[in-house]
Amino acid sequence: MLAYVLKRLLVALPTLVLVAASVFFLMRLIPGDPATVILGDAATPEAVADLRLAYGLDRPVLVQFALWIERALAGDLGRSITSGEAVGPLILQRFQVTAAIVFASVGIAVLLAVPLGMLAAWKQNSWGDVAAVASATFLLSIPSFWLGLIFLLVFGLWLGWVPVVGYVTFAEDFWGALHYIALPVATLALIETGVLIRMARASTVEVLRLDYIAHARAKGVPEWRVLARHAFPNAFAPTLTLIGLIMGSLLGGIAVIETVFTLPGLGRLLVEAIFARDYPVIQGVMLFIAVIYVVVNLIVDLLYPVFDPRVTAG
Amino acid sequence: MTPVLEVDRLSIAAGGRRVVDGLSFRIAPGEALALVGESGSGKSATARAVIGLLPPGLAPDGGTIRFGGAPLEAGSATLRKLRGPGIGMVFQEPMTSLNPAHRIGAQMEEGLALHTRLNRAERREACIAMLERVGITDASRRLEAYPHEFSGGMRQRIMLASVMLLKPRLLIADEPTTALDSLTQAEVMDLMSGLAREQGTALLLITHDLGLVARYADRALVMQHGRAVEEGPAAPLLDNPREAYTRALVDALPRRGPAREVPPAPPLIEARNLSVTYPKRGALFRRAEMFQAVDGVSLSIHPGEVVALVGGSGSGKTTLGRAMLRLVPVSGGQLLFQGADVTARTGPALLDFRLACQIVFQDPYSSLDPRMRVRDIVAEPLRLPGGMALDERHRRAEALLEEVGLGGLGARFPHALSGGQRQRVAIARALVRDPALVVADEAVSALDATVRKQVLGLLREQQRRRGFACLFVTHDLGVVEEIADRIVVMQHGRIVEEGPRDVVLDAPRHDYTRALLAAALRRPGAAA
Repeated sequence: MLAYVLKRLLVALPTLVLVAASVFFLMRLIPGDPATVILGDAATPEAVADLRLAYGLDRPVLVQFALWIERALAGDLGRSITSGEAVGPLILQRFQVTAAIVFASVGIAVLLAVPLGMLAAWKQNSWGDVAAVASATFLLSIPSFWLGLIFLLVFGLWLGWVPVVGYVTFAEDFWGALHYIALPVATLALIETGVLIRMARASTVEVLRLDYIAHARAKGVPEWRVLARHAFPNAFAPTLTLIGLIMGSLLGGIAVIETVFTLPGLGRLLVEAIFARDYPVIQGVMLFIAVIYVVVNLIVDLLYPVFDPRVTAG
Repeated sequence: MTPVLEVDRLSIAAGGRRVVDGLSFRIAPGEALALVGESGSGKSATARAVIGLLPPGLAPDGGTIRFGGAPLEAGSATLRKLRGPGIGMVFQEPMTSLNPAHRIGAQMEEGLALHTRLNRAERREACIAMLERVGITDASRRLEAYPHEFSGGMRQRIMLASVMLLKPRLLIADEPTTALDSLTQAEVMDLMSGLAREQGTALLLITHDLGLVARYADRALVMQHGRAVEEGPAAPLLDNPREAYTRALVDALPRRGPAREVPPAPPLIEARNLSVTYPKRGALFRRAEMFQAVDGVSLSIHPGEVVALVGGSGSGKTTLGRAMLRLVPVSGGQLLFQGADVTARTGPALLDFRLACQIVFQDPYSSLDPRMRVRDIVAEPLRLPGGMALDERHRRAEALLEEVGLGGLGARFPHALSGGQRQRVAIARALVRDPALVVADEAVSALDATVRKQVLGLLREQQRRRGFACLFVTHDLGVVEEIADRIVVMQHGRIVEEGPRDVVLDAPRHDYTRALLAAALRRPGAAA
C-alpha cells in the first residue's frame, strides 16, 4: 500500500516537470513584459532594465528555468513580482479559502445527489425521476456567476442574512467565516449536485438491471436494503471517479465564484497574477494545481477498491 | 396433493404485445418441470412472473399464480416473504448474478439472516456446510472471497448453494448452465437436481436445450410465441413429439453426418511446439509469473479439412485458435502456413497471412461494429490490399449476403438483426476474400438450437462449396459430431487426444475425452 503510494507519486514526477516547463515557457510567449506592466506606460528604459535585472528577467530563458526548478525543488517558489510576498505561503493561504468552499460544497452535493440520483433510477420513468433529471439539467446549465449574483441579491442585500463582501478565516472567527462562505458554498453545491445526480442515476440504472439485484430480490431482501447494500456500492464507484475529477478542477480554482463573492482564493490569485504577468506566482499556482490533481486522483484510486473489490490498489 | 405451483391462464404484456398468452401449468411437490422454448418464447418472462420480478416494461395481463394453494399477488408483502424460503431462483449469467462488491459469505448469509432465527455462528456453519455440499473445497476460507475470485462454474455453484440454503419448496432455474461449458454444465445440473431431490424441492427449469430436458426433467412444456405447444412426460415427449414445432426442436439436436475422406495434401497450416504464455499479475518491482495457456502444442490442418478443437473453459483452445492466426503473441515454437514460417512475420507479410485466414467469433453482438451497415461490414476486408472500387466491393458483399440468406438486408445495421442473422453476417465477412482457413471460435454457442442448426448448416455448406479449411473451436461435442472431420481434444494447454471424428467419439482413449462425451447433451437415444 505504502509502496504503491510512493510509486504513484514517483510516476507523477515527470508530469509535474512537464507542467512546470510548459507553463514556464508558454508564459514567456504571452506578449507583455512584467517590468512594463508593473512600471506602467511612462516607464523609462533604464527603470525597466533595472527591474528586469532585479528579478533575473534579463538572463536567458533556459537559465531562468533551471534556476526556478532548482529553487522549487528546495521548496522555494520565489517571490511575487508585484507584491514581493513569498509565493509558497501565499498559495497556501489562498488555497485554504478555496479548499474550505470546495470541500463543503462537494460534500453537500454528494450527500444530496447520490441518494436523489439512486432514487430517481429506482423509480425510473416515474414523474419523480423526470423531475429529478429535469432539475439536474436545469442546475448544471445555470452559469455559476449568475446564480451567485442572485444569491447575493436575495440573501445578502434584500434579506441581509449574510455579508456581501469580504472574508475572515476560520481561525479568526469560525461563525463569521461560515457566514462568508455560506453563499459561495450553496452556489457551487447546487451546480455540482446537478452533475452528480445525472451520474449517480445513470450508473444506478445500469446496476439495477443486473442479475445480482434480481438475485437479492429473489432472496426476499427488502427494497431499501437492495438499494443500500446491493446497488449503492456498485453504482457509487463510477460516481467516485467523477467526484475526483470535480474536486481536482474545483480545488485548482473557482475564479468566477471567488470573483463574484470577492473571496481571496486560489483562482483569483491566478487570474490577477496572469494580468500582472507575475511569473513566479503563475508558475507556483500552476504547479500546485498539478500536484492537486495528482493527489486527488491518487486518493480516488485508493478509495476505489472499497467499493469495487475487483479493482485492487497496488 | 396440492400442487406447489399452479399457473392458470397467465398472460404477460410488453407494451401492447402479449409475450405470454394464456399459459397454464402445475408443478407437484418435488417434481421437475422444464419450460422449453427458444428466445422470445416467453419462458423467462413466465419464470420471472412467478417470483414477481418481471423486468421493467413487462407487466402481468391476466391470469392467476397460486403457490401452495394460495394466490400470489405481485408486489405484495407475502410474496416478498416467500422469496427465498418459498421460491428460490438461480439465474443464467454467473458473471453478473453475484454482487461483486460483497464477499460470498455475506451474500450467502443474507437470506438466512432475513428468513431464519439462526445466530451468526450458526449461519456461518450452515454456509460452510452448503458450500462443501456443492463441492467448494476449503469452504470456511472461501467465504471471505469475492465473486471475481471464482470461475463461472464455481460462481454458479455458489449461487445454487446460497439459494438452496433456504430450502425453498420451489426452485426456478432460468437457463442455469447456458453460459458454462458442457463439462461444468453437467456438474452443476447434477448438483442442482441432486439437492432438489434431497430437500424435496420442486424444480421449474427454463431452458432452450432439449438435452437438459431429457436428462433432468420429469415433465416438459414446450412454448412458442408465449403459448404452450405441447406438454407431457419428458422422455416420451422428446421421443415421439406430436407437434411440428417440438419435432423441429428435436431435429435441431446435432446429428452425425457421414464421414468424409479429405484428399491427402501437405498441411495448410502447421503449429510446431507452439506455446503461448500470459503474465499473471505482477507484484511491484518483481517479474510477473507466467501462465502457460498453450503448452508446446503441435497441430496441422490440411486444405479443406474441418478440425474440431474441443475442451472445457481454460483448456487453452481459444488461445490456440487465436495464436494460429497470430492474433495473440506466440512465446515459443513455430507456425507454418503453406510451408512458410509465419511465426515472426511483420508488416505487409503478416497482413498477407492474416488475409488468407479469417475468424468468426462467438458473440455476434460484440463482433460487429454497431455503427456500420451490414453491407459495409462484409465489404470491409476487400479494401485491402489493392483497393477494389466501392461499387465492386458492395456488389460482392451483396452477392455474398444473398448466399448466406440475408439478401436485401445489406443496408441494415447489426442491431436490427437477430443473433442468428448477425452470425451469418460474421460468416459472410470471414468468407468474402475466399480464405484458405477459417477459425470458428465457439461460433454457434450463443445461438438457440434451431438457429444453431441453420448456421451450422450454412457453415458446412459454404465449407463444402469453397473448400476452405476450418478450425472449429468449441466446448460442445454435439456440434462437433455434426461438422468435424477430425477431433483434437485439449486440456490444460496440451493436446490429450486427436483422431478422426468417429474414432474419437466412439472409442475415446483419454479420460478427459470420455468425461466430455458423458457431459455432452446429444440426441436423446443417440447418446453413447
